[in-house]
Amino acid sequence: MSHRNQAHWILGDPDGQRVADYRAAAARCGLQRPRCIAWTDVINDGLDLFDEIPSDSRLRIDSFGQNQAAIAALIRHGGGLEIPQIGQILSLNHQYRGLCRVLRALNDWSVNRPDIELDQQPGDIELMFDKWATHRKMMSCRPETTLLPTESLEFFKRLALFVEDCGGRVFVKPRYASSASGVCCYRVSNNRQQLIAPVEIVRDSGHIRLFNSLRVRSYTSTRDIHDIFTALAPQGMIAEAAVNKARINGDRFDLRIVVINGRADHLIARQSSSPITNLHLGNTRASLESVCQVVGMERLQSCRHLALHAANHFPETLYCGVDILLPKSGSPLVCEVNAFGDFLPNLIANGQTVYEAILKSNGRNLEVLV
Amino acid sequence: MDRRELVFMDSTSNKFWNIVLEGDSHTVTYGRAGTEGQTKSKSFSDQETARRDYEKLIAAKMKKGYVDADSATASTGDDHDSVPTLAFRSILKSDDIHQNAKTFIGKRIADYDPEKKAAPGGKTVYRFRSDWEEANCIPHLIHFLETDAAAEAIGIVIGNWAGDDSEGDPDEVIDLLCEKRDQLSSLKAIYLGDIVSEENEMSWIHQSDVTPLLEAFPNLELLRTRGGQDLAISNPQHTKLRGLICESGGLSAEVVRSIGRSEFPALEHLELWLGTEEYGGSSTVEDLQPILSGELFPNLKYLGLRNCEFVNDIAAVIVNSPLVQRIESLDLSLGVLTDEGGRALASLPTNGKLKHVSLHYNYLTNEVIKLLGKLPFKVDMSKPSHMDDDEEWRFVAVGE
Repeated sequence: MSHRNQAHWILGDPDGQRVADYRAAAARCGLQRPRCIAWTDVINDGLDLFDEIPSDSRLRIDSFGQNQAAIAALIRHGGGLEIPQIGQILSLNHQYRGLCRVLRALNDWSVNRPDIELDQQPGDIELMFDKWATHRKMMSCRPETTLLPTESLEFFKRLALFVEDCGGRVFVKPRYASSASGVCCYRVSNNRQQLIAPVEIVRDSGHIRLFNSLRVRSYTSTRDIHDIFTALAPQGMIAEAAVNKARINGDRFDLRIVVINGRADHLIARQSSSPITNLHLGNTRASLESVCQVVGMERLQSCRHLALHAANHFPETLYCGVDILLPKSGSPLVCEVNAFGDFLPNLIANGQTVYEAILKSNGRNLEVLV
Repeated sequence: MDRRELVFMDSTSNKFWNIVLEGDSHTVTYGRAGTEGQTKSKSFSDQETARRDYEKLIAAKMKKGYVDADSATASTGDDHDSVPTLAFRSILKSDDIHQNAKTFIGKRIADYDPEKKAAPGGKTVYRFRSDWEEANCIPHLIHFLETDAAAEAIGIVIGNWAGDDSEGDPDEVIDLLCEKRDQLSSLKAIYLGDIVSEENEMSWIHQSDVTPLLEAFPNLELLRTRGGQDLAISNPQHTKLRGLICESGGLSAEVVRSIGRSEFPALEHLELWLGTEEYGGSSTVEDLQPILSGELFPNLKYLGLRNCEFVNDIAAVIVNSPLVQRIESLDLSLGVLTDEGGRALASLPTNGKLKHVSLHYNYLTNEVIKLLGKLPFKVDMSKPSHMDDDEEWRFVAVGE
């Protein structure tokens, strides 16, 4: 069957912007309108839904996005009982367990349906969603940074040791979450503590809840910091050594490189005056030109190369979003590999948006970096 | 033909906005100061509609804090060598505290890079700072002082001098600047402490006695400091100082008292962040009496008593202060202003020179906001959105 006539399916959030954009991109490429199966339906009704996918179709596994019903369903599917309110940081471990159950079932299903072309290997997504597992898999890529496994019981003790090893500054972040959710920049200096995070603490009748906040706050009281860690620790946390990032006009930045089928063409720099550089916190995209000016073409090329190496750990997966940190001096470091890190509207490379480039790639002929 | 030329400055920008009304159309030119900017023309069905739009646009800009380019605060009259009063503006809104300054005295700030040639003509203000891996502040400053650009520097910004040691004081920087005063012959403005929380919490910053700077630089017009711990002005006198800004999480009573017995006859802009007891703030409204009595600073145009726990007490007495009759701008922003203080401010004198009052970041209820809105001058009662309703600021994690 020719590429153009291939039926295209998405496991995703049918009401979300991602699916809408993806369909628009498919239309621009002259491809069939992708049909979407909702995460909620798969969780509630099982994989029987997939049986209607005709032979030779292509299947993309997309994010469940901000769909509250899907998040709640995943948590319950993972054995969790506590469902977060909008923006609340809760039950991330159960959400991940639920996600894994779906992905494993999908994997089993795909073994019996070799006629379906999957954009991603479900096991790869499972791995990428676990930052600690991803890191271990890629140890060779990032020898400079140690990571802390999460054990809630030992959390505080291990964290203190790790902070000391790292010279007083670390990032503490949820092991299973994504984006800036629950990411804390933690610093200890002269027996004082500081935690900078886009997190809001809500206390009522002795109960502590954490919410993602668009405002990055700085906490210095022992009580606040203890409460934040106490709420985050059971959900699974890792710590990373802080990197003294390069700057553009005084602001820090890091890179998101979307690797598609062995090409690292789509690159953005996320610039911010706060230590948390993730895009949707109202930070800006720096122009490629200004990045080039600061780091030079050669280092930028080495970042692209590093992103390809990171993505190459997942050879059966067509695309992923690699986050790369550029220290002021020294080699670039892989920070995260995001399974659903391809939602970058308006980013164009070689005349193609990210979605267009994915749509035009053929998952059957994955190029592997040698 | 009518025209207005407006300018805006704060810690992050220095912009102009000009508009020309001609018949049934108007033309707006705007951009960064020193550039040609962009031009936009708009035509209307008749002259009256064009004029209405012209007035509306100007009012909107003025509301945002723009002022006339030829007004007293924006220019200094004949003496073009002086720093315009408008350029003494520091932090306008609470969110600005979280980022390093992008401009100082209206000029662009750049981190000094010894590998690049410094821009001549004092057009760029250089910042010298250490970070947690490299103690660059002093070495870079030493390097800069040997360049020709140093003699042309009008402003200088010292950022985090202490690197990762949150307890380091700026004595070494102050000594170096004083020792090399001859190399800094054009210097008129010093910002000692462009430090954001990520570099060092404002309440953790250790300051020092800044008197040596006042003594070493007789042409200094602006001294801006950040950090309250150990800040001192042991010999508070200077004949040319026009702006004094002390930003802090808590200012000691002794600093306030020393300003109360100071000799700064040229002072136009006095901005004190009084802070809270928790962070070392120890002043009371009594310590402010010598300032409020009005005799101390005959040229004062702006008084800022900001970030203050007891701003309600200040509001109660300031309405009767002779000083408030004379100044153009009163800034009680970033503090804990509630309805009690807000009601007191309703009796601010309306027959003096007061043109602008900033109460940004306040806890006023709508009733009092309405009451103060009746005052015949501009009152900024804005709040960051999170003060209204935290839920609006919550965001949902994007699953990626």
